[in-house]
Amino acid sequence: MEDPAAQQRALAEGNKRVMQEAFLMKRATDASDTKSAFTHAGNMLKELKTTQLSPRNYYELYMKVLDELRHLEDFFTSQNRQARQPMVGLYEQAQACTMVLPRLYLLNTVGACYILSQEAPARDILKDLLEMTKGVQHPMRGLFLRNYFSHVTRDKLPDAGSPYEGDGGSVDDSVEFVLENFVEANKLWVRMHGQKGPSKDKKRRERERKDLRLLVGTNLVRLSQLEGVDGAKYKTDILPPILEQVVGCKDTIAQSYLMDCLIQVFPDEFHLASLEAFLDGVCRLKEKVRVRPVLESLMERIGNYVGEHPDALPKDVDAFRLLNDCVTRLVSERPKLELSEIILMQVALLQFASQCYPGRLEYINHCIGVCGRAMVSRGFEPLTGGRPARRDLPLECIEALLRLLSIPLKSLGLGVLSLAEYIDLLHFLPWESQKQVSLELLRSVLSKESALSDLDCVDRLLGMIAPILKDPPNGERGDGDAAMQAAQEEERRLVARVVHLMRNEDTDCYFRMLVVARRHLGQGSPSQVQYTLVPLVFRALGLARTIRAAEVADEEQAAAAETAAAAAAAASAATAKAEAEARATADAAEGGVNGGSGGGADDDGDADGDATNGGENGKEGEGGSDETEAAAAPAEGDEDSGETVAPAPAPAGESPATGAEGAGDDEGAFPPVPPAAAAVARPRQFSSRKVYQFLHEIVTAMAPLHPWVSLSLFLQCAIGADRTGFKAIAYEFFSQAFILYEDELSDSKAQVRALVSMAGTLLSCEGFDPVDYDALATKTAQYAAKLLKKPDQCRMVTLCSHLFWSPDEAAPGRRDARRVLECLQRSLKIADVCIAGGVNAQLFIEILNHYVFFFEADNPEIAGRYISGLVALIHEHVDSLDPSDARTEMERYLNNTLDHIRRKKEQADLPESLGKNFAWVTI
Amino acid sequence: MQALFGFNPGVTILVEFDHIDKRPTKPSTPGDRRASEALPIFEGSEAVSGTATVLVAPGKKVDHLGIKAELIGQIELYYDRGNHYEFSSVVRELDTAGALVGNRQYRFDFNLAEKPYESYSGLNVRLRYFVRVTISTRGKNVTKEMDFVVQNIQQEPEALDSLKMEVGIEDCLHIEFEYDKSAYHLQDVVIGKIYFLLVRIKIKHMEMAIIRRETAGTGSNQYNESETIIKYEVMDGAPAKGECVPLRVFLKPYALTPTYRGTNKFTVKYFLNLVLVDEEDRRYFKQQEVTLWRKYVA
Repeated sequence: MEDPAAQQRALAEGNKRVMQEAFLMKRATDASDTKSAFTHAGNMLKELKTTQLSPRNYYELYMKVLDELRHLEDFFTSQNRQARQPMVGLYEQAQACTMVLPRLYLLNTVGACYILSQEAPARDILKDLLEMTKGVQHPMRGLFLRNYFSHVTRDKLPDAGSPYEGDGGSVDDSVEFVLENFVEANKLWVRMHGQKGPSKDKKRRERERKDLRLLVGTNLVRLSQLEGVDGAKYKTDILPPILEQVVGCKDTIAQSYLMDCLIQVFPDEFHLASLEAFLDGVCRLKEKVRVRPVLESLMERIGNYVGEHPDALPKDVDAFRLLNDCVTRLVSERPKLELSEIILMQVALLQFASQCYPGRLEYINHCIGVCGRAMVSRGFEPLTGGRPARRDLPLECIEALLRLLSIPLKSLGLGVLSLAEYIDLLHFLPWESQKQVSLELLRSVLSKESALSDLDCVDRLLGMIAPILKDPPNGERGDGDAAMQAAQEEERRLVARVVHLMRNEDTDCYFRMLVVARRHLGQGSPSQVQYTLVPLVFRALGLARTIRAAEVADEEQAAAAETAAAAAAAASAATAKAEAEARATADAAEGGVNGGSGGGADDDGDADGDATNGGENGKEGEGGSDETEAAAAPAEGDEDSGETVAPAPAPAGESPATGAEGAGDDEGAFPPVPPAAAAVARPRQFSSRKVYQFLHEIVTAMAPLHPWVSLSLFLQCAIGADRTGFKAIAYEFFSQAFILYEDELSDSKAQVRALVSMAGTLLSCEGFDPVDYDALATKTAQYAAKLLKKPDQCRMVTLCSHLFWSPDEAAPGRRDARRVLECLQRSLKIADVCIAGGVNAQLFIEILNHYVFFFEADNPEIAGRYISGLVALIHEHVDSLDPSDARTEMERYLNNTLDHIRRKKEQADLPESLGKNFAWVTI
Repeated sequence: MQALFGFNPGVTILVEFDHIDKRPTKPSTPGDRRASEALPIFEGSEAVSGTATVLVAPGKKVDHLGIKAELIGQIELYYDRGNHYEFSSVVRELDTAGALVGNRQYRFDFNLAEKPYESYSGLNVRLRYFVRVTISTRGKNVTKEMDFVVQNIQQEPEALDSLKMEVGIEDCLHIEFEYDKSAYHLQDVVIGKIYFLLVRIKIKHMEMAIIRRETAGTGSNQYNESETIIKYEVMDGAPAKGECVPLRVFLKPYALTPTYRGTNKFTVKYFLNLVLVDEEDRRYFKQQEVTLWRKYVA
């Protein structure tokens, strides 16, 4: 029986004999010889008595026979219609066949024609056919015979609107017949299980049984196709007997298959109407039956259906309660149920609840709670306090839990934080999985784009995402490969974006939020704080401005009560502007800091279009956030166009701000915060000074670990303090930055970057007293002069020259033409020393640009002849170089610069004095 | 043959029943040498009439001592050839002694002849009816026999209870079967049910056979013959406990006769035999007698 070759042989022989007899049968039908037709049809059907074939091969043979029987059917019908042969005679004749299996096939064939002729009520014929069909008790042959019954009568059942309704019976009769056929077929199918044979054949028998399941399921399909069946009939007449059979047959394969079949075959509203009975059936299934997939597909179907038709949920049925009761009962009655199965059932239930009962938090909480208790009852413990797990959670449980936890995230977002059981359950997961959930939570929060304005909420949120912030309790968070780094980058970005979602009109509350956030973020691993605290610093800076604006407004209000209204309006405008600006700055700088080079600082000082620096900037911009790229773009543009004139050294803060403001607007994420004037009603608890204190504390704390980041942050704080009028605080921040520079920064590249930032920041600070400013500027220039590498020295000293020539003419103590010249001359001297590889020519051209800039900026000490002389010197140097790419580049740079000077000379609308100056320049 | 031996110089008798073409006939059963041609059927109460034609060869004259026609019903036991038991014999004189010249027709009519039994043709016995015309001569008599079939429509037996029986082998097989009646007419349908109360053997299939048991003779000369008229498969495969399998057999297509009990010479009884065959081809069976009776002629 197992040998495939023997199978094929048997099948081929069977087919051959079927063909032979079918041929004779058709010859008889052509001759209208009924008797002979019966004989040959009977002989043909005898082949189906075979015991040689496996179900699949038997099916093939069956299909062949089925084809031939169709001829016979047509023949009987035409005998009846044309030759006026009464069906009852044919029906009797069919029963003369002495072998039971062929006889019953013939009987069914004639019976179908009999119904068609309507010479007798369909009901009676169907009843008789079904009764007689019991004669075949062999499981496989019986199943096929019953399938044949179902097949030939499929369009002949009395049904609403069918021609056989009325005298022929009603849909109730059809239901009864199909149900009976179903029950009998299932009995046969189940009986196959207990068939003879050694136990090693068990696998094969099960496979063969599964091959046959369709023969049973077809009956359910037939029931579902009856027009006259509605939800009520299904509930009272169809489902109970089916369940009785399914439960009663006590067969694992049959129960699994048929329950699923029921779900798939009948419409969703039927299931809704009869949920209780169905679930009761589920509970009574054998313990070996995997109930989870059954319930899962039921809930999924109903869930989707209700999701599409929200009114479909009957008012009088509490579907959730029913399902939950069922699940609870299953769990309590089946101690062997796998933990992952329990969780997955809750997953399905939760999914169902979120589709059918959106917003019912107690349902969600319940599902999660059940899982937690199930975990405990199976001896698992939450991983709190960094203890390693006593017993590893099986992988499938982890996956199930992840699915469970992600469902409320999608629908509720931050709402999960109010679910008491949620975080408890989270702690059962291993670290990595907790992290996964945390990330998903963050994404969900971000996708909602709603502000975080609740202190408690922030507290819980940040508490929950601890796995992102902290290192795993055991094992290292290795830097790993590129993919892992990218993943970490992504994590940090998510955290940063969430920090930026924090906002509250009430500044006190806002501040408290920041404090809470600082506590959580600060507890993170040392390697993480440099990424996570940065956005917090910028939020705090923004807050400081807001508070300050309000304070100013308050003061003005107090000073002049009658002009209060006007003052408030001004304040509000200022606040709005400040807020937007601060936000943009923050974004840009955050990216910049992460990327490693301050985007803002970069393009103010280095406006000479330094190729190396620009390239670096671009490259790092790619690795960094979008904001960095946006900020870097203008710098690249400068370089490409070959615009060589040094632009006015814009205040460090503003340049990136304008660049990033565009990006901020595109996102449209941040509407302006309403004026803080409302806060007047209540005394302000936290002043802006307090916020700066807070900032100082944050940055100082991370300074030893991350000097470079801290330095940048100190500078940002300095700008913030300066803008809000706290010059002493600004000075303090500056001095902290300088101390860091001295104590911690030893890498020369980092020093250069830091100097650029420091110079840029210093220039943009407007509030310093001349003495303080001088101290800071001088210090910066000293740092520049002490750099290790000569080209660095040269460039930085050149840069520092700008510190002594403020763009604002009126600024006290900010313009010292003499010191500018000193700086430039000093840098020329240094450049002259750098002779390796023509780098001095490059430096000379850069310095030339600065000369031209100061010349245009009306610095009296910069004379036209210096420029002329410098140009001549450069020519000399460049000409002495061997032709190379570097030389070509330099020449182009020089030419661009010279072109600029020429254009200036020709430009008619130059101020008279400048025009005169340029006239002196010869090149 | 007679002509060959020269006993009967040129006398032939032809016997013909009236309205032969309007009568139902019983088809000859193939293989039965004694019923090789279709025979007319008469009911027991019907008159048997017809014509006997005596053909004398031209130019001959046959002297005879009288011509008679007889209607004979007799039972022939094959083991006892030549010793026939005539249970009915009616004689009609057709002609007194004289001489026959040329063809001559005689009418006969047995309107009161007794025909209590049905014709039967079995393995060891037959019950036949015939009309014999005899021309008595000084030498060898000239005779002609003409068979016909008698069928008696019977009263429906009274008290038609259903047959119900529980049988089995302890701890092995236990069934209960039921036939709807204990007597069936020849065009009837046997309807029954078989309940499987206990099935511990591996049944392959179940069939129902109709058996005819013919008992002929008496005493030491008694001959019993059982003949399976038909085997009808009722069930394929092994039923589970509690199954109920239906049975329905149309009797019409089969060559059955009514049950004979009326004579002391022979009896014919019919049995329904339910047979279960297991996978080792062992047979478990139970016979049950049923009465067959005639409701229609044909």
